[in-house]
Amino acid sequence: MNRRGFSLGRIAWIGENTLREARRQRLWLLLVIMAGALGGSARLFHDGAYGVPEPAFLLDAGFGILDFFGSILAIAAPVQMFFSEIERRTVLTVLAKPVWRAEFILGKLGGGLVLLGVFCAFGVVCIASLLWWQRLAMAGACAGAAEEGGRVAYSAVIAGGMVQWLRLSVLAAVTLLIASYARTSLFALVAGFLALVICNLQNLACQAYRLADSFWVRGAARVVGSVLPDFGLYDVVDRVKTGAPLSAGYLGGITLYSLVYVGVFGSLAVYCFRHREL
Amino acid sequence: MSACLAVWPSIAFGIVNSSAKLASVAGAALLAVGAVVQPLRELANSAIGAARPSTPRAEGAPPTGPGMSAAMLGGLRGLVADVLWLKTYLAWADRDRVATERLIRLVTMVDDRPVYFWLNGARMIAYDITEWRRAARPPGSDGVEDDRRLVEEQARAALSYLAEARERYPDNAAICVEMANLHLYKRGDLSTAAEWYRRAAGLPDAPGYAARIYGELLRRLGRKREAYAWLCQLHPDLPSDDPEAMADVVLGRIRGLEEALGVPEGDRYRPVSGRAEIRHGQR
Amino acid sequence: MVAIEIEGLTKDFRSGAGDGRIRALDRISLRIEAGAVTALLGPNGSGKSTLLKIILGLLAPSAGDCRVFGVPSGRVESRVAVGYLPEAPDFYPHLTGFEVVRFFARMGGLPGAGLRERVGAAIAEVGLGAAAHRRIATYSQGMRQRLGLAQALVTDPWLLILDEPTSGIDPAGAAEFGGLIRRLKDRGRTVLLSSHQLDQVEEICDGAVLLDRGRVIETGRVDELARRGGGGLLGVESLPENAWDELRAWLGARGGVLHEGRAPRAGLRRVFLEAARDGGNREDCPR
Repeated sequence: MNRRGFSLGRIAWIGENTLREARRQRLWLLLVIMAGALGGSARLFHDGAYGVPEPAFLLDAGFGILDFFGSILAIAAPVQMFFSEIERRTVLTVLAKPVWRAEFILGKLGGGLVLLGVFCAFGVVCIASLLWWQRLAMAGACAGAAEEGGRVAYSAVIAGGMVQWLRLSVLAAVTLLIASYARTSLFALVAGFLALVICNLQNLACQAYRLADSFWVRGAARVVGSVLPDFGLYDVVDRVKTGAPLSAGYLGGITLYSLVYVGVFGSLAVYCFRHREL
Repeated sequence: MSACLAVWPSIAFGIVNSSAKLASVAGAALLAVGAVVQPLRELANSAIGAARPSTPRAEGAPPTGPGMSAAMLGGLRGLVADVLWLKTYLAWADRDRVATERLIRLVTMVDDRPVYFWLNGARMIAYDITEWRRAARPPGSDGVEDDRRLVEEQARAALSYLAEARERYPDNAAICVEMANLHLYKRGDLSTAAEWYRRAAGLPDAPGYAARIYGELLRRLGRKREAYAWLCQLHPDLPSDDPEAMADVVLGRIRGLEEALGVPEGDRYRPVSGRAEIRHGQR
Repeated sequence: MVAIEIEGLTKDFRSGAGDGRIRALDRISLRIEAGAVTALLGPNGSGKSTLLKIILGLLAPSAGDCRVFGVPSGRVESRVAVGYLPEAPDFYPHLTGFEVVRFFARMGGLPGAGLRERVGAAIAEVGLGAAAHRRIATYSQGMRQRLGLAQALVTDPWLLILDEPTSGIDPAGAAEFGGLIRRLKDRGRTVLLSSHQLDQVEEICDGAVLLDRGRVIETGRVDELARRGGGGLLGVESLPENAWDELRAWLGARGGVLHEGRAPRAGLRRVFLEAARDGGNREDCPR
């Protein structure tokens, strides 16, 4: 390992340390809760599908739960992992070694992204498993019922899960930027959720920009719409419900879009942290 | 490359020692990135734009408060709408008119994408609530005129509801068919119903019977020549091996119109070979 | 060779209200020679921790220069040969002691080959061998202090910076620590420690720097500083009570001051150490 120069190895070790802590803190219990919530939703909607395609309900529930718990994890995990280092002062001990501040931040970000990836992968497996079980149940009850229930493309479900991971990665990077500047974890948490709300409302910002009479409102809407990513672009559940696969153009575009924002927010977090007095 | 990644902030921006400068740098960087990724945003939006939920608002007006609340839900909108739909069904089962009407509108405000919310909501308004109101009328107020007013009121309410659906789905055949059904069976307005069946028949996902019913309505409206021309151009496209397509029924109607219009034998419609010939009056 | 060279170092902090600033360090200049054990002394708020953080590159000075083995302290390279023990260290509660030291060894750039042995040796050197695979959450404060020392030593640094190293450690442990510092000095290592344990500083340190309100008040060899300004020690026996006034007057005429005398005391620290040493030999202790 290069003791002096910038080292990807140190970033990996910091990320691995972060993941190990997350595992020991039993964050995997969150996965169990999510699986339980998904199973319960499947049962609920199975009993009361009311004539509408059950896969549609199950996909809404699955991706909605993934969205809900995933957003909490994407905000809380970076804040907790960052501020616990500050409060325990282990950040001083780490940075007293020949460790770049950039390595520290990027290691934290990398660990968070891997954690979210595991979370989304687990969620997709749960959703796909429940869909498969449901089709088996419907096929057993009545021949042709499985077809009536609607087509499910498992590749679209997997792609939908990957898109959710990209969205959560961007959210985690935004939160880490906020944490690298914030003085308290509470501020970082609240600001993180505020950023989530603003990113969800980006479509509204565009509408406000087009419809508002006031120059200042239009300007503010234009700035907000440009500065933060649009999380509406990641809402692919409706596409997945049709059974059609997500287009390669969309997947390539959204991946690049996400990578750019993760890179920029990560770089800005490095920049803020470099000038933070510890 | 990794060394450049770590060093570029200080090279590019120097030492910054105030929050205002930090905010300026971050803001400028994000604005620049926002401009750079705009093509990617448009690419992704064009791929899934139709699949994004709308934000409820009046024409030309900013989004409403409830609309903003719904938009804030983000990816949870679908799940929340599904849960609200369950509540709607429970209210429907209890014959709670006020709750049913409120929840029907709330569901589509939260998430306007699923067509079955609109269709089933309209059916509840037009058919079920009409019956509830009939049952709830005081004794002595069940005259024919009162009943007709009641049916008309609910039908118009359902049509107004479906008109909102058409703002999101202007080319959805199921919505057009539902509107046609309401005009036909609830309002008795054959002319308007015929127009909606015609629109539905011209859409890609139209059910087979839309075109057939349009032809039949033209006949009932006395527009026999139009009906004859319509059915003659429809029949060749009907699959003979699909009972739901009712090709024999259509052919029977063609023959009936030929009789009524006095079409000469030599000018009569000749089905493609292999199709069964059904005389008028025979099924 | 100079281990640490500081020239005109100043550090200001914002006071939080308007443009007010607090000057934590005021034009400090000092040199710490390599191979020496130096104490950084001063009352609370004198700027010791701020100075240590600047040496470690954790804070940037407002003015002046600080170099570690000739490298500016703000550069990552300056910390390659440095080990640091923070005050009252706390580590990742869900990791084991071994995992923590291994993590910091990796951060220090130790290669994978032989890493396990190096980590084991560092843990054994501080007396934590038995607890290495227990989670930090089960450690006492003294054990965390030892663990902090282990992570500072694992890379065999040339410069060791210790902030209150014996805080939370019992006197027996503090005595062991003194032995460790002597061994490090024998190996040519440089140690800079900040401490309030003045008797220990006298025992193990070569030099001392005394800070007060951000300024260097005194600096020099410990034995010279200890001798400076002190009077002689006069032991008196069997002096009648009425002769004390006469003695006081005689001393006053010659420029001396008589302080109240008390019977010499062995000191609690010595009593504790002797009891700890002899405790295993006693057969009459109640069980």
